[in-house]
Amino acid sequence: MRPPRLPPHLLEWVLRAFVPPGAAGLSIVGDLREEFAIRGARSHLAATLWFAWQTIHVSYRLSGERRRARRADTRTRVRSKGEPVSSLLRDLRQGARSLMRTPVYAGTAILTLALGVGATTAVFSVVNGVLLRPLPYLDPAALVDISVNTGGAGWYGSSIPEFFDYEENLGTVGHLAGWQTGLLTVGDSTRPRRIDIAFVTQQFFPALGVPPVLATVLRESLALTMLGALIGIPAGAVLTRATGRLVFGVGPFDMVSLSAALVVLAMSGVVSAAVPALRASRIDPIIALRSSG
Amino acid sequence: MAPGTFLGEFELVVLLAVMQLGDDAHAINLRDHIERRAERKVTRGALYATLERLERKGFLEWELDETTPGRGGMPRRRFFVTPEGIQAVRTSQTMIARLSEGLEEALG
Repeated sequence: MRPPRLPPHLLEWVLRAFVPPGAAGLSIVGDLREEFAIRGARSHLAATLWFAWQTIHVSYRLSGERRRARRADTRTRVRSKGEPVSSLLRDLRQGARSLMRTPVYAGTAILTLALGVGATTAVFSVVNGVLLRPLPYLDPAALVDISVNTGGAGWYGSSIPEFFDYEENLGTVGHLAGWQTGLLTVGDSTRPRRIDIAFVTQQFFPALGVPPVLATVLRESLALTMLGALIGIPAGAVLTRATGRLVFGVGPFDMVSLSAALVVLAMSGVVSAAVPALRASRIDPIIALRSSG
Repeated sequence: MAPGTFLGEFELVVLLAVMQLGDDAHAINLRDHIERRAERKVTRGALYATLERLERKGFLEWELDETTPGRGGMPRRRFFVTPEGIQAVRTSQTMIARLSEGLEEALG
């Protein structure tokens, strides 16, 4: 007969740090191993999660019990009720205990908070990206402007020969672009309009990072979606347990459901990012430059 | 009665379960037994903490029993109640009986 699988070493190591020394402590580890083996025969992942939870809970209760025993032994029952630090600790301990007593409720509350924070962040990201910072540069912080000072007052743009010198010798920049602004009159003689124009060198748009904007937005969105899935799936497992009676025939670790959820999440992430990404990539760089004024 | 010899409700429950299970009073069985008979949820953390406290109070002792295959060589404890423990249970029940006197109608 194959020997039963043992719980993860790391978890057992943590548990052993908290149980009493000697055979008493080892027998507690043994009890949990025994139950782990029974649960592990059904699902190893579920058994591991169960063992992790038991490690936390049993360690917490045993260390609390030991703390109480020490206090009783030394007869130092000085309850410093007035001290803010100790009352804060007491509140924290009480909060942690009540959360541990109702893990499903706590999980739901934490998930609700996480969703709320996530939704707020997402909405702010959209407002920030669309309204507050409309410039579609790849990395605005990396843009530098090179000016020349000839010893006197004031800074000047570079001359064309200087630009060629930079192009040849300046190794510290990714792209080097030159430009010259000017004014142009358009329209007819009855309704002339003067617009700002710029002559730019070939590397100007790559330097601003305008073409790759679509890929950037899509990549960031996909990364955010994956992060969401990473947090959401374990939380979902907890919730599924809670709503297990309502959902017929779907376990918390149903691989088909989990994979389907992941695919739907990834697709919705890409689709929802594609619309703003396409819009951003279509902004005329000249208009973007003018609004930066 | 000396201080520290009164029993908490869950301590009383655990002592009674240990007495009822006799030779089968291992931690896993105790938990199942209490959940079944007392119809209340018992976490392993609470049970181990209470077993440790009862042992410290001198109401409970344990000896090593044969281990089982699922334990990977880890020892298995069998608990039994000491005479002091039995006395504590008796005291506790007497106290409840006295305080319940005359309340038959209200308590049913």
